[in-house]
Amino acid sequence: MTTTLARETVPAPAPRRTLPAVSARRVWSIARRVLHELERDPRARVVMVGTPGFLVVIVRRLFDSDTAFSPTGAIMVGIFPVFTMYLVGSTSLVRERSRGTLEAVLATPTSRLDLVGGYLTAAFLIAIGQSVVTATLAYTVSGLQTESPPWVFGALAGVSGLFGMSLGLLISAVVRNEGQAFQALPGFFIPQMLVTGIVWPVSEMAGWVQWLERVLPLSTVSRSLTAARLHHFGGSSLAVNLAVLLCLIVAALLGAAASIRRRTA
Amino acid sequence: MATAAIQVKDLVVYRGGKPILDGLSFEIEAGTVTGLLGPSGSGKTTLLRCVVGVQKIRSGEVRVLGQPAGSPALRQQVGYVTQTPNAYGDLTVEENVRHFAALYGRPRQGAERAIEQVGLTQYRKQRVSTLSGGQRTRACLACALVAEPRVLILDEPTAGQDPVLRRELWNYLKELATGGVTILVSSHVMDEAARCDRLLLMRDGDFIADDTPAMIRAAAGTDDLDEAFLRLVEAPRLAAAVAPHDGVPV
Repeated sequence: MTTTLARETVPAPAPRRTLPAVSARRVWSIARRVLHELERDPRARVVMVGTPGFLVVIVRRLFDSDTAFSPTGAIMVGIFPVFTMYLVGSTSLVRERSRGTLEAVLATPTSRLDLVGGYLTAAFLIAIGQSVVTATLAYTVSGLQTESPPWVFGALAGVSGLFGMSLGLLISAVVRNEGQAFQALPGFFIPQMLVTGIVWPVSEMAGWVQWLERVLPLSTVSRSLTAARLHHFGGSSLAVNLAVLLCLIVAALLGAAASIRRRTA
Repeated sequence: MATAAIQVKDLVVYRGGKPILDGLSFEIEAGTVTGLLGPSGSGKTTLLRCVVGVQKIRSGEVRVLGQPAGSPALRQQVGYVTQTPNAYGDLTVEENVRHFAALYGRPRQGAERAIEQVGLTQYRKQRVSTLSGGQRTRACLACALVAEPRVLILDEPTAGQDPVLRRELWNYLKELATGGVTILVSSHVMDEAARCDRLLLMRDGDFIADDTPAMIRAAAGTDDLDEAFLRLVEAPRLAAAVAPHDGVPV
């Protein structure tokens, strides 16, 4: 069966307004597109929702009591989005570069701010959604105890998601394919995770490891979450770590934006 | 004579240290269909990317609708269909075209009309990765048409399609041109170019002919455009009759 191209007179061109450099409509359309692509991938759904939830329940069994679990649990509730959003950001943008859709999008009025804004919006929404699942399981099944209310952890998870996404966008500039993007997990993220106190308390580690923990990027996330657990709304520790985290996010985004070029060789 | 829709002057492009385009000049009138023909590797894609404004240029000037190629004001008015399908495979045809409608600042209803114009209405809820090659090209074309562009650049849109589809596509482009759209389309299949208003025959980054299909056939002494291309390459004396005249159309 052949389908024919419709024979229709082309309408006269509509009058053009100058479009702004950043537009909410474009940002939202890009965010929706990222969300749609994820939704279509069943493995992504499992990794994003199933695994963190599963881990939150299982890891509780490693501890004798709720109070012993809480230091680890509080960090777990807010830290998963860093990894999952890193994977989403890096693989999505690497795919866009290699398939030519990035070039097609940059030939439209879309600006780099639109692109980055769209990805960040998607990251924030997914991170919050993910934290709802992990937090529900952590507080109900695993008996997590914290000084701050659960929504604070949800918000911190959202910021973690922004952090992960900005790192993902940045790394997409230097890796050639999705496989290489995955290699940053054992190379960059997991070593930091081991040091940030999610498995063993920081205070019980060797001196040089404690010094290392103070300077690693991922520590800003774990320390914020620990502060939220220990003090009602976190206090000064949360404020300081959150500020540094936001600076890191901005730095990563500037690097990522610089790597997205409209004109290529 | 009104300002030409596309003006290229002394365009020089290097890629990987080698000159791909070395001092090209030409102009294209509004509302015409111009075919850019040549073998793979002759620089067609590079030239099209210069007109769209996504190619790094060493020197020279490219102006579209009177403005530098790639300037923000132009991006609403120039549609671009790349050689590799530039639609999102995991999304449906409808989602893709609506996405590009949002990026171009066009109303959402424009997406339905663009899908109808390329004849994919019954496939609109199907994922692009599950479409056939020809259908995928038409989906990408809808993504460009939704912009209601005044200039449309297509890079080998007929690759891998059957003769019926190819003829329909070229007819459709002709109709768009009648409505005032300037079309620059590349191909390495010579015969289908017979419907163009003008042909630019390209080889190794340079034009060996720049004229109407009829004139090129006359100069080469054959009706078969494939044969004409070969004769013009082998006998520069013949090509002189249809060679580019310093960028000004005959």
